[in-house]
Amino acid sequence: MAFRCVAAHAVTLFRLRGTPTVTTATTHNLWMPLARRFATAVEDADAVLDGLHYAASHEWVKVNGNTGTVGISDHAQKELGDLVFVELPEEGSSFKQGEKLASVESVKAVSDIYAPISGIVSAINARLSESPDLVNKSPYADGWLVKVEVANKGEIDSLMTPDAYRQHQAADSH
Amino acid sequence: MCGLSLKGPDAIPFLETLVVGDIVGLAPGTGTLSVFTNENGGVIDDTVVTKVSDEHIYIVVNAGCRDKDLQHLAKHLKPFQDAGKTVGWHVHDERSLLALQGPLAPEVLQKLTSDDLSTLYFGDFKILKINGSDCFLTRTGYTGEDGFEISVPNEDAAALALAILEKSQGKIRLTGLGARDSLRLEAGLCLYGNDLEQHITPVEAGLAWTIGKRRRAEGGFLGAETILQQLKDGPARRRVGLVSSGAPARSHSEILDGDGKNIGEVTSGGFSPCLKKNISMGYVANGYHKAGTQVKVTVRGRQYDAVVTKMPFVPVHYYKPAAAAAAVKA
Repeated sequence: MAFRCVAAHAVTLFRLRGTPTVTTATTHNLWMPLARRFATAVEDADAVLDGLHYAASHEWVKVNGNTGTVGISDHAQKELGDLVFVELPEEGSSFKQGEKLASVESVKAVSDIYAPISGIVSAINARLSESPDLVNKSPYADGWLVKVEVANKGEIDSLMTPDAYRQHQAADSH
Repeated sequence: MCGLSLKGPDAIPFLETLVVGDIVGLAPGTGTLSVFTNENGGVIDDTVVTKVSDEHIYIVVNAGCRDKDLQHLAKHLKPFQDAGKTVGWHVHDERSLLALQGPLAPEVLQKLTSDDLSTLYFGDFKILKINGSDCFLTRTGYTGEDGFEISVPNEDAAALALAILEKSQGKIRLTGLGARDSLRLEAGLCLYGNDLEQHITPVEAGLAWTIGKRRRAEGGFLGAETILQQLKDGPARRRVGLVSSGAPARSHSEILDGDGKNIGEVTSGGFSPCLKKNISMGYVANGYHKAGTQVKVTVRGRQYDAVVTKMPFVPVHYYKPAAAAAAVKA
C-alpha cells in the first residue's frame, strides 16, 4: 500500500514504521483488539495469521478453491490508525496483481490497497461502509475487504509465507 | 495561543475600533469570543477578549496569527496614540498558556487552588494562585466542553502541567492538535486559516452574535460598512455543517447541489470520534444553508452524498449558572 497524507493542516508523507520483531504463532480465530498505547508503553506484537499469503505491500489473501479473500495485515492497520472510510471497487471489476484495488482512509492518511493477486471482484464487504473500523478491530476476519475469483493460481507462489512476512514487517521501518 | 494585555484609560475605545464586540458592555471579570476585522469586513483573527478592569483588557489570539495581529495592532495604535490617547500593550511572553478541558477539569483544578471555582462560570476570568503560581484563569476553551485556559509564568508551566496530570491520577492526559481539531469541529467552532480567513466576514461565518447591539447601531470598527450591510440584507454565502455519507470531505472539497452545480466549498472536515461519522464545515450559497438540505461533496474525484447539519454536531457543555444549578439538583 502507499500512503497519501490528507491531514487538514499539513502535507507530509508517511511510511510504515518498524515494530517489535517477535510475533507468536496465531490461531485462525484470532481477534486483535484495537490497541491504543502511549509512547512509553510496549506495543502489542503485530499478529500474522498462518494459512494466508502476504504481499510486500501488506495485503493478505486467503485462497479457498478458486476464491481469494483479501484484506490488510495487523501491522498495516496499526500503522494506519483508526479507519474513517474504506473505498472498495465494484463487483465485477477486474484487477491485475499489483494494481490499485481499493483505498482506506484513516485519521492521518489515505492509503492505496493493491491487489495481491489478479482476479475479478465477486464480493465486497458491505459492513465496512458503516463500520470502517472493523478493519482495525479484526483485520483478518470481519475486516476483510473483497473476495476475488482467482485468475491465475500460480501468482500465489510470488507472495510471502507467514514467516517471510513476519520478517518483512519487522524490517519495515521509517 | 498568544496572550496579550491592553492597558490604559483608552484601551477599550482603542480595541473597539478593531473588534466587533461590545467591550464597553462587558462585565468586569468576563470575556467573550470576538473577531478582529479588516477594512473589507473580513476576519483577521478570532480571539477571546476579557475585561479584567476598565483599563485592562486581556486578549488571547491564535499563535499562528501572532505576527499579523501584532502588526495590525501596532499600525492602528500609532495614530491613536498620536491623537493623545493613552493605551499601551504588552505581549505575555513571560507566560505560557495551558488549556485544561473536559468534565474532570474543575474537580482536578480545584485541588490546586484555594479559590472556589464553582462560581467561576463560562467566560469568567480571575487572577489567582494555582499550584502556588500567579495565574490568569479563564473558564473558557475551544473544545465545546467545560474547561479552563490557564496563563502561568513560564518557569512554573511544566510543574503545573505535571501537577494537573498527577492530581487526576492519570485520568487527564496530554493531547495534541489532532484532538483539539476534532473537538472544536464537533463543537462547530471555526478554525482560523480554514473556516475563517481574511476574505470571510463574521456574518458569513455565522458569528453575527459577536457583533454587539450597540456596535450594529454605531459601527466604528474596521469593515463596519460591509458587515452592517450583510446584517441588513443577509450574506451571499453562509457557513454550514455537513455530515458525509462517504469519505470525509476536507478543506477545498467542492460542494455541489443535486444537479452537480458548484454551490460552495468545504473549509475543514474530518472524522468525528464522538459521532463516528465524517463531518465537515464549509460555505454554501445562501439558500442552500438550511439544515436537512441534501448536497454532494467531491472527495478525490468522487461524489458522495452529504447533508447540511446544524452545529454543534455534538452538544456543548459550557459551565453556566443554569447548568450548575441542574448539576446540584442531580
